[in-house]
Amino acid sequence: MTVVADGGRYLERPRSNGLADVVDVILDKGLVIDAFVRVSLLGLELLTIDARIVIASVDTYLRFAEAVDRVVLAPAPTTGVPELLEKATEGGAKKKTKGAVEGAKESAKSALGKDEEEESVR
Amino acid sequence: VTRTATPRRSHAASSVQVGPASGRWLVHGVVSAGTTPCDPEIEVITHGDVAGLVRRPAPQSTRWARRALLAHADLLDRIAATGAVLPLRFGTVVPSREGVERDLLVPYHDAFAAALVTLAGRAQFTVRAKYLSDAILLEVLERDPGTRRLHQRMRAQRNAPDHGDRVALGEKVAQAIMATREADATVLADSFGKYATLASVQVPSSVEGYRIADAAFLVDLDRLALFEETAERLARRWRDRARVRLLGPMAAYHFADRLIYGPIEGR
Repeated sequence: MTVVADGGRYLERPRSNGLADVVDVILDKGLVIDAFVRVSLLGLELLTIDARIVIASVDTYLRFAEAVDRVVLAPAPTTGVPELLEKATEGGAKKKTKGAVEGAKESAKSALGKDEEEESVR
Repeated sequence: VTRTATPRRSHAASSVQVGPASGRWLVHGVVSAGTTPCDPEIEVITHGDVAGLVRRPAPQSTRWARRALLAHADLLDRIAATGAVLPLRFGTVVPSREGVERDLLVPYHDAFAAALVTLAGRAQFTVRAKYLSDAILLEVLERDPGTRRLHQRMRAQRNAPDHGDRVALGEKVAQAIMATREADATVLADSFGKYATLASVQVPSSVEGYRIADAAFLVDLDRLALFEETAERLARRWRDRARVRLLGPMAAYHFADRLIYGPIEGR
């Protein structure tokens, strides 16, 4: 797919849809025809993975507690908050607290045959 | 925007037959009669003012599914960039060629035609925003002295931190991120909403993954520059705390149901 223009400096504007975006954005979207039994959806098991399970467990909270420790304790004690923020930004969205939801989507992605990270689709 | 809502809506996929498909004709989407997809693998089946874009599916396999899904998106997005297309859910199959007309194009003709009028000159743009995990954690600690104090108290306990305290800390952090996310999703909806005919802003049910929202907008293509400027401005404003991705033009995946069955509750 071709897009109209490149993004500016801060906006990510991928030129084409990677598999990750396609799976996340459109796999469960689009018109569902439900008035006629003779129109049906392909029953591919991998497409029925429910990637929107609500996970709010003790494990989730413990991962957040761990993430807070990591963020607060990792930098040198002399570093101020603005610098901390800079460091955090450089580090990017590390998936330390990766949970079941991302996991489910990832299994959908790998089920579809390719382990493609969003970062690679810029 | 006017729309006809002829067919009855039962809930989403619940009444759709899901299982080994007996059908062999995969319908990607519906266009106005006369629209040509320029794809040799796609057959156009026309009835009145509308036409179905149909592919003969190969036997099911993971490899086929991946290729067909990408082809589905590619075909529909290519048409959406310049014309109108109503996307069907990926994997919609009809058992016979005649069935495409009889079971789909005939009963839905007027609803399809009306939706295609709404879609003309417009396309969906999807904004995906995600916090930088370290930045948002620092942000909520900074903002909430109670959480910070709890964390400090736990660290002061020289022995192994109390399990209950750790759970409480994590819960406070999760709730703070959720509250921040609600506020940011509203910023997102308000920033782009004024340039869009239809909007759908969804906050994920879980805070894990640090997603702020997946927001879809149906945008007039002649107002696209304004929309893109807004996206760039927001990405700049959030540069230290979030990544903002803009996808599109794409087919109106998030709005197809709404255009046929009418608005549903929720935002």
